[in-house]
Amino acid sequence: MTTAVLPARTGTPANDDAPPSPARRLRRRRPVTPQTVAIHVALWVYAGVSVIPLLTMVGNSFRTHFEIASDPWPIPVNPTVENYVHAWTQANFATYALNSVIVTVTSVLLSTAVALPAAYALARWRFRGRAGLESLFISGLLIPFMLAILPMFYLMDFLGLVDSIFSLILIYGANGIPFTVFILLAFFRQLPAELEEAALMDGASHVAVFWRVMLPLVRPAIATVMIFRFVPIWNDFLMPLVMLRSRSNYTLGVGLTTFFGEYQTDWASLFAGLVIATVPLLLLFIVATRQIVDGLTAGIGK
Amino acid sequence: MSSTARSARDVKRPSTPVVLMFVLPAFVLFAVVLLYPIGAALAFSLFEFRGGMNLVGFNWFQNFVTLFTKEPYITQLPRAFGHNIAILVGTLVLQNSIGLFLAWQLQKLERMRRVFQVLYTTPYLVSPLVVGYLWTLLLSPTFGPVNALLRALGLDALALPWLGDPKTALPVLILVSVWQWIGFPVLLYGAALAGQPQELLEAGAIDGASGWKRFRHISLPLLTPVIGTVSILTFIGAMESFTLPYAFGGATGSPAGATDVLSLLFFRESFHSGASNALGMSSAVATVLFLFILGGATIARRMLSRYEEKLT
Repeated sequence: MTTAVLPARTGTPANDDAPPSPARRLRRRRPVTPQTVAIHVALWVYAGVSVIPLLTMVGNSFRTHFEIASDPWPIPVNPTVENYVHAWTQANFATYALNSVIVTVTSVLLSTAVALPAAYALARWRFRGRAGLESLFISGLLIPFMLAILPMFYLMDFLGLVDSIFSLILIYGANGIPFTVFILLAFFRQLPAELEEAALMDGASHVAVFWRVMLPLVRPAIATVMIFRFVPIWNDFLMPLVMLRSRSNYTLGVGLTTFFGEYQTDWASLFAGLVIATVPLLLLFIVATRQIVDGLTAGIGK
Repeated sequence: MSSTARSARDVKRPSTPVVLMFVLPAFVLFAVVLLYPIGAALAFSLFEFRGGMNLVGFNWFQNFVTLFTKEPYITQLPRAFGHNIAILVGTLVLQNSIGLFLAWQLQKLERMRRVFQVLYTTPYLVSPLVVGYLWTLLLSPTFGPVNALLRALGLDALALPWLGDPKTALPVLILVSVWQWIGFPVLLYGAALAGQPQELLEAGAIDGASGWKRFRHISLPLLTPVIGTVSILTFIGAMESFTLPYAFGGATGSPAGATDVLSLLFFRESFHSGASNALGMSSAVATVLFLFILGGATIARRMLSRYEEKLT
């Protein structure tokens, strides 16, 4: 999967042999038969299965508890934002969301900041222990670090970071290193050596070459890597469950769990809480569909 | 890289302090926060503790003996393991059948392909915790819209307490898990199908092979490496599955342990057991899981690369 998100990728799949017009090609290739109709129906039915539960969540979040209980049809006839106001103010979601944003953004920045120079050094320089260090980082991709959670807890306890979001930032920051190094290494390796040499001949230092010449060239890769780290950190639940104690430090996941315990009967607010925890990721997806879809399918089909 | 390039860089090799400045921050963070704890987890499995980190002494494999011979482990461990295997088999079968079918059919579309891909991938972007709670609400026996729909269709017999009944809770967990992840195989198989050499498929068509035959005898064998990759990722996901079972059944895997899985067992052993040797026992569970996951993934990758060699 290395070739992955590599810059050489162009968007066109191999079989897009520039048809005269999409519609004509469609008609030529696929006459309407009962079979194609059945397949289209199946595709749409599955699309419904995929999306309708999520639409139900959104729809119900704009309805009152009474409406949800009396009519299962999730269309908000008299839309209300009351649930959101309630979840946001009464149920601390403003705090949870802020903590989630701080944790996610800071830890993505942390792992990128430390992994970028490391990936560059591993890709472009020769020094003792280089190969060993590279395989150490890459092997981190396969190790289920979740299993170290109890020693991690004691470590954070020792550092005085239990019940602090800094513990999460350190753990996620470290956890992002293997993936970030792995992807950026491949990108840095691809850059032509001449660029580096020319700058060095002109008297630039190694640090300046990295910072001024090479770094700007891998900017798209950095963006992709950051988007990909964002999702698992935002969605993680186990670490905050273990590390955080007080409500003012909760992230959305743990906040949601307490919320579900306390507001069991207030369905309307529960739906609003679920939407609040989801919206940032949907926004990210809308902004970065291309990176996400290309990234998921990276290295396949070539 | 030309030889002149190499020599030019040899002359201007970065000094050791510069190298350290570049690699040390990543190494230190990685080593302290991840490597040390995972090493500790493996090592602690051979020690006995008395409350927290208070070491009693080295006790060889006593923790593992306890794990495999004493209650509650001899009941809970095989049960949780069985559930993980059920999740693995269920997701593998459904993802590789439904996912592959959808990817194959989407391949024949032009403009709508991307739309369907995005629709199928949406649940993948929702946190497993949100997915778990959402389906808890949707499947609720009282106000849940799923049972309301079933009753409206006259299928009252099917309006069951899906997550409250030990018989249906695990199958529901598997289905919801597939619902969430299906976009991933659809995208991967789609990309792999798009990259297949058209000449082969066209040759098949000229030889008179039907659509299904072309898929079965040309596309499918070429897809095997990707199916292998998806299966390995599914294996890891199924073995580490924590959040969705937690959202459905809490830390104890209710109802009646029907959704208990290895990571929940590990979590309870680590934080809820109250036993004085919790650290030793939870490290033993962690070690067993560690070896199983890493071993399984490694064997699967070996098999896959051997198959790929045969293919080329």
